Amino acid sequence: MTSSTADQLAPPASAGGARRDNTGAAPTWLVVAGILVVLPALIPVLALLLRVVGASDAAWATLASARTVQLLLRSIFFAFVVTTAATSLGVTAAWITTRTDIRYSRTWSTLLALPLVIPSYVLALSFTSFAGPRGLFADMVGIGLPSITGFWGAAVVLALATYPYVYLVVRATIVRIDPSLEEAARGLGSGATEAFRRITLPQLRPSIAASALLVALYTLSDFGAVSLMRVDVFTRVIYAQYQGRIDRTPAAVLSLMLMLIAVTILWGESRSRGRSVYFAAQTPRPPTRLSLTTRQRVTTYFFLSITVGLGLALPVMVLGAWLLRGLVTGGVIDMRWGAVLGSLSGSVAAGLLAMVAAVPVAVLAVRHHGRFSRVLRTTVYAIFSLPHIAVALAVVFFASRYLGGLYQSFLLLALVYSTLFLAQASGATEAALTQINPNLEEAARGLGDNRLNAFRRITLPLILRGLMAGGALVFLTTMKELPATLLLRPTGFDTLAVRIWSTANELFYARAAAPALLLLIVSAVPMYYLIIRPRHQT
Amino acid sequence: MALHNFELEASGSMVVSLLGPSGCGKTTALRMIAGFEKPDSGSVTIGGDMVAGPDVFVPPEQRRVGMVFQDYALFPHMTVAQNVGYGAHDAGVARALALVGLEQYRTRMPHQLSGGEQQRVALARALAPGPTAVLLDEPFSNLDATLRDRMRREVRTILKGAGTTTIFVTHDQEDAFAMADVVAVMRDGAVLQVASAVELYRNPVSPWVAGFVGESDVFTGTAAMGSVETALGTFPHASPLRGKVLVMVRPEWVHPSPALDGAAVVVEQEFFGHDQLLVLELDGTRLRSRVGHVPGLGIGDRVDVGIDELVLFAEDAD
Repeated sequence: MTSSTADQLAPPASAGGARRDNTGAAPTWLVVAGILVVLPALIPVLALLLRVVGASDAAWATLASARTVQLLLRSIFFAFVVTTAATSLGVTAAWITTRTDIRYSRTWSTLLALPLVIPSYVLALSFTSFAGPRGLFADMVGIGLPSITGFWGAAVVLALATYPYVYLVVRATIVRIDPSLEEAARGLGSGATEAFRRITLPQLRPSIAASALLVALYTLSDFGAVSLMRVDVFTRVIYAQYQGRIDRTPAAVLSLMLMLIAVTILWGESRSRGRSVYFAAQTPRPPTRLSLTTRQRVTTYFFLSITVGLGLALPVMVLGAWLLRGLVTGGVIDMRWGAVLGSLSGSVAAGLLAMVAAVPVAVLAVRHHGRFSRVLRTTVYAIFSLPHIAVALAVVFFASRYLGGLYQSFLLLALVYSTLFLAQASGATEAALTQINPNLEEAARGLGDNRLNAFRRITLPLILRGLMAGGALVFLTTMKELPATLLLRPTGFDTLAVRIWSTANELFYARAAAPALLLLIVSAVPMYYLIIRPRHQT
Repeated sequence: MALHNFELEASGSMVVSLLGPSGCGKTTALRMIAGFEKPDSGSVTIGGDMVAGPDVFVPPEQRRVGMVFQDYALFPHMTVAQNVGYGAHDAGVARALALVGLEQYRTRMPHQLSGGEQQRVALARALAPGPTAVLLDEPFSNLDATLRDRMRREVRTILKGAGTTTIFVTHDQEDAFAMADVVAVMRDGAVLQVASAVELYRNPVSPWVAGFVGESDVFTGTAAMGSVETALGTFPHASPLRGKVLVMVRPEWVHPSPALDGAAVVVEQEFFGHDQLLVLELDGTRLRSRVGHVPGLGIGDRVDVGIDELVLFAEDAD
């Protein structure tokens, strides 16, 4: 899995604004379209479930084996460690940038969010290629740093890759909390730290819980970083089982287990989000910031520098150094245009397909509230949040058995991409559609248009920007996608993500640098505009 | 808001107003006529054709009804001419734009127009296809007071010029009185009274209607044939009611005349220039009087009360 799960920090709580919405049941063709767009993921997952239940003996053997129990415990412990670390980092960073008088706090706030644009496997690659006997550091200084791999190395990498989610969500909540509550506590005799702990922290608890669960979900789903750093958690073991064994039942059972854990976490996340209650300021004003003593100030800057240094500066510099080194020594830059072309064509196709599929989902969600549209919306977000390696494996099983020619075709790959990331496109489309007065469609109908024509002539032109923004998001997420591509790509099809991952896996770091930097640049600019900036405005 | 007891008929170039407080179902009624909502029972007939009823539902695009929305709902990505031409041919566009006096604005975009101009475009768009009826939802609620006065007159002239049947919804009694030939007063999903503005004002069917379409005071009396006896005196009436009744008067129907031994006392006096509002009290009953200048009359003075007109309601009327 790449960085996509939590790219959508949380699905919008509900669609539809305060306006009067078209009442009445949705037309049948819209319902059919809504069902069709989730089928490419839904059918394989259900087929996987049936297959595992059908192969009950073999399934039980896998489930009950000591290795599976060990794997389960290791994966959960891994997710726990990463979540704890990322949450501490994120909350601390949010508090520092909003409640202390550090200098350049706006610059720090942006820098702290930026690691969001670095895919986990690129971060992992920069860590493994920096330290270790064959690492960049050893190469330049002559002394090898101990290798950063395995459980704890991967935990550090994933904590750095995920803390921005906690940071952005918690920060957005902190700035909306009425500062006079804390001031009242101060007036009643609490110190600054005590007031934060007793008054503000309880109000932050729901957003901390929700973002922590997202981090846990991301960690369980991550494939790139754990496979490069060789940690045997679910995703890596599933891939190994799929690659190395004739009998694929164990891979299927493990995928199903992983999806089950993911669904449980998703459920917990949706519950914790529903409970968030905080008291927003009537007239927002900036809270008083804590003046730090010199010693505190030094500690704070040290903390911020380490976080931004490891999460952002190190990967960029390491990749740049590898690239330079490759250029200077005349070594291989290895910029395969086939991979660039593959990334582009796959992402464009996914973006376009997702735009088409997003329309019925968004129209149902915004214009036809009801049980069906709620279930559909939840399904779309669940597909988005499930570990991609598990969904991709389900598609492999289903397609290789029933779809014949479609298996390992570009079309199927693009279809799977677009279904996995549909939530991004439909979310953006929903937001655009909510802005449009349903009276406009009614006015068109009163003037003689049927539903479809009114949509084509009025609604579509007005939501086109949102629809295209959603398509762009899907494009970007697809660029970084790794496990689904590995499992489903046609023979000879290559992408930047696959290139980076496979060269790094074979320890050809210099070769991975150019595609990694390119991927970083391509995804950084739009990620900043689409996700970091809108969530970051105070 | 559910509708029940909703019955209304309009024809010719009549302007009908649905008047009622917010939440009374007037907008629901309008949307049912337009076809945006389906009635559970009952029927809607337009131009002799049933468009909604048992087993019949004609979609809005086939009803030939023009709707003007409260927020105008002008298509933001189309020019004035494209908006007006959405459901009509060029000839219809030209005619409609001429009718609202906006021919020179054909190529403007909606956001470049003032509120009043936007409203006229919305009206032109609804009129352009030559609809059987035009429906307006709270047409003046987005306009400021001065513009409102002007637009009432203009819209009425335009609609009369177009010769179409008009139904418009409002919660503002002034809108209804200024615009409509016939006013239907609604409350809680039911039509209480359908009448001309004058009739509605002078002969409301209930104390609630009386209070909704103007200022009114209600007190008790005992009716006999031709006259009603109240604490203020005995007054003539033409109602068939007998016995204990409610008497409704409007402030301008009440005339105090200074008298040292008068039955009532002036307890409040508010001066507006063109007239004044007095509050008279008698045995705990208060009633308002709107009169011109009365020389020498002030708070605390005793008066006799003359009543020009009154309306009787049954004792338990609501």
